[in-house]
Amino acid sequence: MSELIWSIARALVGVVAVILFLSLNVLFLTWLERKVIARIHVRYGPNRAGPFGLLQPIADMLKLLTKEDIVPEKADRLVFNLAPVMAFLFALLPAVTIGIGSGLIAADLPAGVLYIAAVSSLSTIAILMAAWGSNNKYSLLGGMRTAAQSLSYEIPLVLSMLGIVAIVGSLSTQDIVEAQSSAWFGIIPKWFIFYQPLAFIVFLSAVVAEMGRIPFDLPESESELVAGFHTEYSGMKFAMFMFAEYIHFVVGSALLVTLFLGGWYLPVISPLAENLGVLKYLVQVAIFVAKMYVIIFFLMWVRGTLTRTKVNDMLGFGWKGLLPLALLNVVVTGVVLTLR
Amino acid sequence: MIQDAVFLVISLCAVAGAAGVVFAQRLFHAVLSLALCLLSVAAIYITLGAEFLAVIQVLVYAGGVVVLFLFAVMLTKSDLQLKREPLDTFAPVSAVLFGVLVLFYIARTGFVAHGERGAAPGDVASVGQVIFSPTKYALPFELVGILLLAAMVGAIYLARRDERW
Repeated sequence: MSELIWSIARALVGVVAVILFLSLNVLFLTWLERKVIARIHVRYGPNRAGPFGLLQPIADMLKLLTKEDIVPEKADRLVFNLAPVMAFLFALLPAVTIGIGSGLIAADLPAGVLYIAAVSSLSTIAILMAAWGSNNKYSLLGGMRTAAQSLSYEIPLVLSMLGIVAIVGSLSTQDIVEAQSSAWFGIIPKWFIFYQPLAFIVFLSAVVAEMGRIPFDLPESESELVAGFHTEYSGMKFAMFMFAEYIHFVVGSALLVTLFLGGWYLPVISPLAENLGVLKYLVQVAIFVAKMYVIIFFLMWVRGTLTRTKVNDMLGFGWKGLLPLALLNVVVTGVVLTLR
Repeated sequence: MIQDAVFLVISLCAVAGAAGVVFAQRLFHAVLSLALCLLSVAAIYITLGAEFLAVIQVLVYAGGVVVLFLFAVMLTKSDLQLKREPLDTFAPVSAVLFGVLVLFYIARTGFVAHGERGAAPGDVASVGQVIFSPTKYALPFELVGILLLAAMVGAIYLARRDERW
C-alpha cells in the first residue's frame, strides 16, 4: 500500500515538475521570440514592461485573462469549449517521457519514443475540434490543412527515429541519451547527429511541420486564413491555444536534443561534473536547456528568414522528399548494423 | 481494490464513448465519442500490462483512424444532422442475441478485470522477441507486410486519375 502511495506521489511530483518547466520556458519563449524576430526585422521588440521588456509575457497573460470570452452564435458549443482544453492537455502528454537529466524524467516508459509519436498525433484531434466547432470557413480550411499536414509528416517523423532506435536497441529516451554519452578522443561527442545526419535533416523538417511553424505554418497562415483554426477564439481560450503551440515548440526542440544532440551530455564538461555529487544534476539540466535554446534560436531564425510554402509544395515535399529519404535512412542503417 | 476502481472508471468511459457513437445526433460528435472509446480501451491495455498494444492503439486508432474520420466528415456537408430512423424489428432482436452471446463467452473464460503485471508480458521488448523470432511469428509477420504492401499498391493504382506515369 505504501508502495502505491509512493508511486502516485512520484507521478504527481513528475507531472507538476513537467508543467512548471514547460510554463516557465513558454513564458520566456514568447518574449524571446518577439525579441529575436524584432532583431531580424531591425526593430526593438517589446521594451516597455520591465528591463528589456522581460515582463511583457506577464502583461500579455493578464490582458488575455481579462478579455471578453466570445462564443460564436452558431458554434457547436461543447466542441468549441472543449477544444482548447484538449489542445493544452494533448500538448503536455509527450513531455512526460523527455528527461532533462539522468533520472530527471517524469516517466521513463519502456516504449518512450513510440509513446511520443503516438500521443503527439492526438493534438490534431484538438485542432480539428476547434476548426469544426467554430463553424467558420477559415477555421475549417485551417483544420483540414492541419489534418493533411500532420498525417503526411508523421510518417517521416516516426521513420527518421527508427535508425536511432535500431542503433540503441531501446525505445527509452534515457537509454538513447546514455548511448550518446561518450566521445572520441574525449572531445568529439558520439551524438547521433553524426551517425544519422540524414535522419536529423528529415526529423528537423518533419518536427517543424508538426509544430506548425514557418515555413510550414499553413494551418494558420494569416494572409489567407485570418488565423486558421483559432480564428474565432478570444481571451483565455486563445491563450490556451498559444500556450499549447509553444509547448509543442519546447517539446519538439527538447526531443531533437534528446535524440540527436546527446541530451544532457557535453564532452569535456560532463565527465568533470560527475564528481560534483548532487550538483551534477544541475549541470546536466543546464547543458540540456542550453542545447534546447540553441535549437529554439535556430528555429526562430528560420522563422525570421524563410517564407511560407504553398500547400501543394508542402505536401509534395513531405511525400516525395522526406518519406523516401527517411526510408533510405532506415535501409542503410539496417544494412550497416547487420554487417557490423 | 484500487485496480478494480480504476478499471471501473475507465470501462465506464469506454462504454460512454461507445454509446455516444451510436446515439450522437451529429456525425462529428459520433467520431469524437469513438476517440474517447478507443483511448479508454488503450488505458485498459495499460492496466493489463500490455504497454505496447496500448501505444499502438493510440498511434493507429486515435491518432490515425479518428483523424482520418474527422477529415472525411469535414469534407462532407458541413452540418450533417443524422435523422432518427424508426427501429425495424430485427435490430433489437439481434442486439439482444449478440449480448447473450457475449455474456456466454465472458462467463466461460473466467473474465478478470485486471491481470498481474508481468504475467502476460506486453512490453515492447518481449513483443519484439515474439514477432521477430524465426521459430515464432517472423514468417506470418513478413507475409502480413507483403499483403499490406500489395493492398497499398492496389489502392494507388485504383486511385490514380490518368494513364500518364
